[in-house]
Parts: sequence; C-alpha cells; structure tokens
Amino acid sequence: MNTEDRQAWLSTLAHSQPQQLAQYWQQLNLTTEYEVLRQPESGLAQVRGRMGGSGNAFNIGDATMTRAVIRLPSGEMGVGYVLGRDHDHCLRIALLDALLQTQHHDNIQQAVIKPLASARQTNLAQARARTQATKVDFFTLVRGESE
Amino acid sequence: MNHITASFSDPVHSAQQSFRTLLTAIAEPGTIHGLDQGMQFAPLGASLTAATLTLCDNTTSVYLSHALNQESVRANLVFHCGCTLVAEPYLADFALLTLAEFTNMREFKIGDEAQPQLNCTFFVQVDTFGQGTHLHLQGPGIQTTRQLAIAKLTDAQVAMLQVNHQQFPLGYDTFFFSKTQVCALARSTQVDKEAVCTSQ
Repeated sequence: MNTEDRQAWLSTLAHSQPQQLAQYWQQLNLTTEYEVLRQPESGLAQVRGRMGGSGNAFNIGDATMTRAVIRLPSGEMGVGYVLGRDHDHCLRIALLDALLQTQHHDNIQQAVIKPLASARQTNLAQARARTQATKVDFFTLVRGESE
Repeated sequence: MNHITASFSDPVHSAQQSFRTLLTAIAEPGTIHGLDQGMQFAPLGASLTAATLTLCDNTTSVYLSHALNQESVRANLVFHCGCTLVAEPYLADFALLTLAEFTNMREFKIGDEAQPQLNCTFFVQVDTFGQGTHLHLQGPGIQTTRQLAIAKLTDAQVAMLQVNHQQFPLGYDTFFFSKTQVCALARSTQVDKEAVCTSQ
C-alpha cells in the first residue's frame, strides 16, 4: 500500500453518497470486529479558495465535517473524513479504509471503489457538460471609438 | 500506530467531569479527589491520563520526562490531544513527570510579572497519598490548615515547593496523580513540614 493509493480511495469514499456506500457495503457481506479509537465527531473545517483558481488564497467559510478512526483486531487503522454530519457514513468509510489495507483489498476495490469512482466521473462529466452548454464567449468585433 | 488506545468512551461528559474534578482539586489545595475514566495510556495512570486528555489540546505544548517519554504515551497524546510535544522544558505549558524527576522547577517557564499565568503546570505521577511525611498546608482555598502526605516526597522537594510559594504571584502550580486520585498544590499554598508548625 502506498500513500497515493490510499489518498485515492479515501477521496473516492469521501465523495460517495451515503445511501450508495451503504448499499455497496451490504453487498460486500463482510463482517468484522473493530475498535473505535475516535468516535465520530462533527466539527468545522475552514474552506479556502482562490479567485479564478489563481489569485491569492482567501477564506470562503466553514464546512461541517465528521471524522472517525477505527482499528481492526489485526492492527490496521482506518480513518474516515467526510463532509456533513452523517456519523454512520463516516464510520463506514473508516472501516472500509482499514479493510482496504488487508487481504480484502482487491475485493473491495472491485466491488466498492471502482463503481464509486466511475459514478463520480460520470456525475462530474454531466455537470461539466451542463455548464458548458450555457457558456457565453464575450468578444468584440469592432469597438467604435477608433473612428 | 499500534500503541494507540481508545480515548474517553463518552468524550464530552468524561472531559467535563474530569475538568470539574481538576478545578476542585486546585481550588481546594491538598484535598484528594478520585479521577478515573476507566482508561489509561500506560505508563501514565488513569487519573493522569484523564487530566491530560482534558487539559491538553492543539494549543498547548507538553513536556514528557525521561521516564514517561515512551512511544505509547507520545503516540496517544499526539493522536488524541493533538498537542505539541517539546523536548525543551522552557517551552512547555504542561510537564509530565514522575515524582523522582520532580527536582528542578526552574528549568520550566514561569511567566512574568505582567502575565504570571503563563507558567508551566506540573503533572507529577506519584505512588500513593497518605504515606510519608505529613505536610501542613495553609493559604487560599484552605479554611484553617490541611494535612497532606505524598509517598516518597523528599525534603528537597518540600523545600522546592516552599521556594515556589515565596515567589508569588509568580510560581508553578502542581497536580499530583496517584493511579486513580488527584491532589493539587497551588503556588499560593504555603507548605510546611508538620514539625515546624506544631512547634508553635
């Protein structure tokens, strides 16, 4: 396991819809014991942005988020960070993160991460297409003041 | 990573109860209070663990003495409290020590006349209360006098506490922790060995 892979699946999990993740988790039909090291707790994270994507960073505002940490009996620690206040969702993410570090990795990648990632790609592409359709290009043919 | 143990099972209420206990302990110096939330980061006892979880956060820096500076303690404090661990005594807001290592307060920051609250607070892990030399306490929070005995507290340490009181309003506040109990001595507490005060 390397850091980039873990970042990728945590990002996918964090962007997943709670109902959809719950459904995939049920279909996996995995049961495991685990210890909750950090109970799910909701708090605020400051969101920063840059004007036009390239200006100076400024604080846009705060976003509600929830985090949790669990540990499997075999010692792997799983963390869950997700926007919103869905504690079950957050625990599920932490559990999947821990299980992805075990021999269940390939199974979960196939059954959960891949479909979630492709669903997200589809959603992003649709949103992009919707936005693109309303794009207006401003340009001037003749400016008039030269006469 | 595997050194990490679970924190308070009920974070909000456990922290509130612990805070109330610590506040009462320092408000009434020399009184002994039970403090046990059912978990510990060994070698820290249950009471010291609860106090650390309650008072230390990402705005405080913590010094661990040689005997307590173990991976199990470091990993848990960083994970659960988010505090900064410092190796230099003069940077610490809280210092965790065993009683045998409680020998030199002056290494730690004491604040200044304008801001005497910026001192380091000591968390000293002791074996037990009720044994050893009986100390005779007077000062704010004590109606007349109060007695306290801390096992294995040496004469030099008593002298150090007396010097500490003399520099009031500067000075250090000290919490003593047995496994499941806590007791505090504020800088305003006058400490005498019993022999001195019974001689009238």
